[in-house]
Amino acid sequence: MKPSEEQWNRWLDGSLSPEEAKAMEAAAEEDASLTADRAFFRQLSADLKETIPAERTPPFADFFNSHLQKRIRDLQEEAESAAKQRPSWWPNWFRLSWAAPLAAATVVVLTLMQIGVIGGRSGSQIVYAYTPDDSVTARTEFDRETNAMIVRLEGMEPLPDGFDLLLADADDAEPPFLVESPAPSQETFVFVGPQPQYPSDRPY
Amino acid sequence: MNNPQPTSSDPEVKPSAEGVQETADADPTGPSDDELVTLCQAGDTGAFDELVTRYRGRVYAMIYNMVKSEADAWDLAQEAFIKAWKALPKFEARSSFYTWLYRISHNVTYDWLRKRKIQAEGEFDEGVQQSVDPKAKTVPFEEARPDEKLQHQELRKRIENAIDQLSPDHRAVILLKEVEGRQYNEIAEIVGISIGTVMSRLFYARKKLQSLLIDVYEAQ
Repeated sequence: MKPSEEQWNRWLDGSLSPEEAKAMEAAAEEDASLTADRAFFRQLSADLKETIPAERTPPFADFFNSHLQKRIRDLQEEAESAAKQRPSWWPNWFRLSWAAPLAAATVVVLTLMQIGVIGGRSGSQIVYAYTPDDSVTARTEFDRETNAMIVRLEGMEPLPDGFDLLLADADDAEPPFLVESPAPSQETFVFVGPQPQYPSDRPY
Repeated sequence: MNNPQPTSSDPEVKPSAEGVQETADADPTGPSDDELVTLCQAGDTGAFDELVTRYRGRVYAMIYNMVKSEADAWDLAQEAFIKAWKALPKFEARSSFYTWLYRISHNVTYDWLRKRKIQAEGEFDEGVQQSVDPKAKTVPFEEARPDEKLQHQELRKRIENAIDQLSPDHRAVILLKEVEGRQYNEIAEIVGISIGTVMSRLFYARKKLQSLLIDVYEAQ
């Protein structure tokens, strides 16, 4: 019996099934080279583990970590700087984070137009809300009490507890904000306006 | 919940004659890799620092064993961890963090080697079936008198030289199997190949090592 490459490897590694191992042992009794192979690789395997360490302390190990931390901080600063440098003429739109898998298929693109006065204050008015997903509709309404534009999404799957929406204004100097999820519902309210505190060290 | 330490299939860390071994024993009461990853995905760089400390020894060793240069291995290990940091938001825990990190480290190393175009001389070509007679005499690295008993250091040097003569493809699988103690499916995932290809590369790597070192063991 001439073993296949896989059988030969598995036999050396002791990972054959009992039936296969029995067959290989029988073959080894008739072919001395198989027995010699096993003896050779048992010794070589032990010597390899002895000779080549599975772990090595990198030189200047503490600096290895601190240098990485510095590079990560640099990356974060670059990302924040790039976000602030978008041109002012870029139309405002709000991006939903894909952090939650249920929201991955839902996109709402809001086109805003700068107008003179809304409720006594200058700002933007949402003139168009677009959802690529036909099953989801978006309606907007202005709430005078909170001075906020409310985007109502209908047709989304119920949101689980802990589901977070991260909204970002591409043209706003302020960082994007985190919206706490409401109770699971077929409707999701996304508040555009006064927002809760945003974790400033979020990497994305 | 995943273990906070590398998988149980990993070998015990063997002390190195050069004293360059670093253990990766995590505090069993400390956070698991999964917990640290979740913190990292929320932007906790301190949690990432903990993961770096946990796995820098293994990552550095794996890379060093492939490139054989402390300076290059140091730089490549840095790149591997930076790539891991950037990719963490997309990590979905379909494999352990350790295996995932190893995959990144392997790819970084492999890309670097490809650029350096490091080729082993007389390496097996998997597309060509070669019959290797394990009893064939090979030219030893150093001329040794038959009556001279090889010392441990000489054996070590011969083994290291033999490993160096393997192509990156074969070196990677033999090191992952023999030094890291990885299972076949783990090797396949780390290297990004099928289990069949793992078997094939392992077979040829072992046969190559046998042809290069048979005289060493016959002399003992």
